[in-house]
Amino acid sequence: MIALLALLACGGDAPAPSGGAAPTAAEPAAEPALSVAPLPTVNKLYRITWHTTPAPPPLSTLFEIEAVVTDPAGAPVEDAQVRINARMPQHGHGMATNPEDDPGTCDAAGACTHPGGRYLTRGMKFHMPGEWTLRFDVEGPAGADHLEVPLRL
Amino acid sequence: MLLLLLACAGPDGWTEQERAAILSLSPVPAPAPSPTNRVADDPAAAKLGEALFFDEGLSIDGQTSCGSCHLPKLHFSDGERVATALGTGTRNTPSVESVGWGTWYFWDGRIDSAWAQAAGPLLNPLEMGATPEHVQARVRAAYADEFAKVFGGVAEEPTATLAQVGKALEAYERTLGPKPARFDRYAADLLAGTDSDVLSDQEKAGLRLFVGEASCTSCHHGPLFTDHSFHNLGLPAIPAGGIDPGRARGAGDVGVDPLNCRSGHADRAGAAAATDTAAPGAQLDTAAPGAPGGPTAQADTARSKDTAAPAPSGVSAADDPCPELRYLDASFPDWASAFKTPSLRNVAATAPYMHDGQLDSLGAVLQFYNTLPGKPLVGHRELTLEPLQLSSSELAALEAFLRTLTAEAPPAAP
Repeated sequence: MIALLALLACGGDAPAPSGGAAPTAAEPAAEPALSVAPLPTVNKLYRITWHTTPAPPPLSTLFEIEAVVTDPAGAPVEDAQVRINARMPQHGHGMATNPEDDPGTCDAAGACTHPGGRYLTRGMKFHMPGEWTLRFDVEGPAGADHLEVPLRL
Repeated sequence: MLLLLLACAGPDGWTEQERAAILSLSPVPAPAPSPTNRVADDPAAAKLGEALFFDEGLSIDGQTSCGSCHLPKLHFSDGERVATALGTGTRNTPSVESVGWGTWYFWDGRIDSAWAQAAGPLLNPLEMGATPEHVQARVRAAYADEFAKVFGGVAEEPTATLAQVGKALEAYERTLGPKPARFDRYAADLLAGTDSDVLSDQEKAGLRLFVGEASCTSCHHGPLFTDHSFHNLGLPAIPAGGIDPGRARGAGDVGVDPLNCRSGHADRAGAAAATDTAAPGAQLDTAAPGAPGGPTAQADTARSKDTAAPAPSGVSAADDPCPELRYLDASFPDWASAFKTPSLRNVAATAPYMHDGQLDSLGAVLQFYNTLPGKPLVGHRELTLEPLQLSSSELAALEAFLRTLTAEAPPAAP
C-alpha cells in the first residue's frame, strides 16, 4: 500500500485536495480515492481538475492521468495543448517512462479537440517513492500557463 | 491510499502508520497475469515445465539444467558469488520464486516476460550453451506427447519451440511463489488484532526499523519486498570486475529482444497461441550478459524520446498490448549501473548478495547500508540512500527481522 503522505497544491489560492479516510491493507479504498477540486494555474488563466486511473497512482505501475481544463468561469477549454509530466526535483530526474498525450477527437484534416476539456495522458509511472511534482502545462486560447502539484509517495 | 497519520501507538504497540506499513507487506498475493503466455497457469504446462527445468538434456553438454543453478534447497538460488555452469558469468544467480510478479527480468531487466527470461539461459554459452535446434531436437525426442497436450504439438520453427519451452518453464516457476514465512503469520495476527508472540522482541524491533528509521521500504516494499525497479547502490567495485552498465544496457536491449512482447512469439488474448510465428527482425543473441556498453545517459529533459520499443504504426496507446515497452525510457539517466531490486522473500537462504554476489552475508549487506563506503564508478548512488548509522544491536535486530521472511525450503528436485 502506498501512502500519499501529503498532497498540496501550489498554484495559488487553491483549495486543499480531498481524499478518502485512512484505509488499511484489509480495507482497500473505493475508487476514485483521489480527487481534487479545481485548481487554478499559476497565472489563473485556467482551472484544472485531475484524477488518475488507477487511483491513487500505485508505485512502480503504469497509470493514466486525466485533466479537465476550464477557464476561470468553469467553461471547458477544448482546443488547448496540455502536457502532463512528473519530476522528482530533489533527484534531478523525472519519470523513467515516456508518457503519451491522447490526441483527443480529431477530424479528417487532423484538427483535434478535447470534448469537455478532458485531456488524457498514458504511460505515467512513479518508479520510486519520495517527493514528486506533477506538472500540467496548458497552451490554450488565453495563453500559456501551468500548474504544479507536489506529491509525496 | 491517503493515510491519516496518527502518532499514537495502538494496543499492539505499533502506530497506525507502522501497522499500515507492516500489513502492506503481507500476504503474498496470487501471481500477476502473464498476458503473453497462454499456458502460464495451465497445470499441465507447469508439470511439463518442471520436467524441463530439471532436464540436463536441454544443455549442449547434457550435464546442465535450470536446476543446476536454481537449487530448490536454496530457494532456487545457488549459493555462489556468480553463476557457474559451462562458464563463469558476472552476476549472481537470483531465485526464480518471484517471477510471477515481475515486469522486467534479469538483473538488468533486458527481458520483459518470465517465459522469455526462462529461455535465455538455454542459449547462453556460459550457462546451458544450446541452440534452438538442439532444444527442438530434445523436445521432439523426449516430450512430444506433453507438447501435443499443452501446445498442440512442437512448433516447426526452432525459435518458436524455444518460446514454447520458456512458456512451460514459466508455468512451473509460477507455482514456486514464496510460501508464507513466520513474518506472514505475525502480520496475520496483527490484522486480526490479536497479541502475537510469533516474532521475538528483537525481531519486532528490526521490523520497526525496517518500516521506519532504516527506510528499507523505500525500495523493498509490497508483499514481494521489491519495487521491481532499478537502482545504483554505489557498491564497491570488485577488482578486475569491470564496469557493468546494468539497466542502462538492459533498457535498450529489451526493445530488440527477439522474444519480447512485440515479437511474434508473444501470445495475445483472444488469438491462437503464437507458437509458429518467427520473431520479426531481431536475431537471438547468444552473447553472455554484462559486457560494457549501453545507452549514454542524456541530459535531464522534460520528456525523453528514446523509447525502448515504439509501437508499430497504427497501434494506438489504448490498444497497445505492450504498454511497458511502449513507454519505457531506454535512456533514463539514472539507469547507469543500476540493477533490479531483489525480493527479500527467503533472503536468508539466498546468499551471497547483490547483483555480483560481492557481499557474503546479510550482516555484510547491512553493514554496507550502514556506512555506504566508496563511490560508484559509473553514474551516481541512489540519492535516497544515506548511511543508516545504526548501532550494532539495531543492525542485529534488523537482520533478525529479515530472517523471519524465509520460509522452509521447497522439496528437493524430483
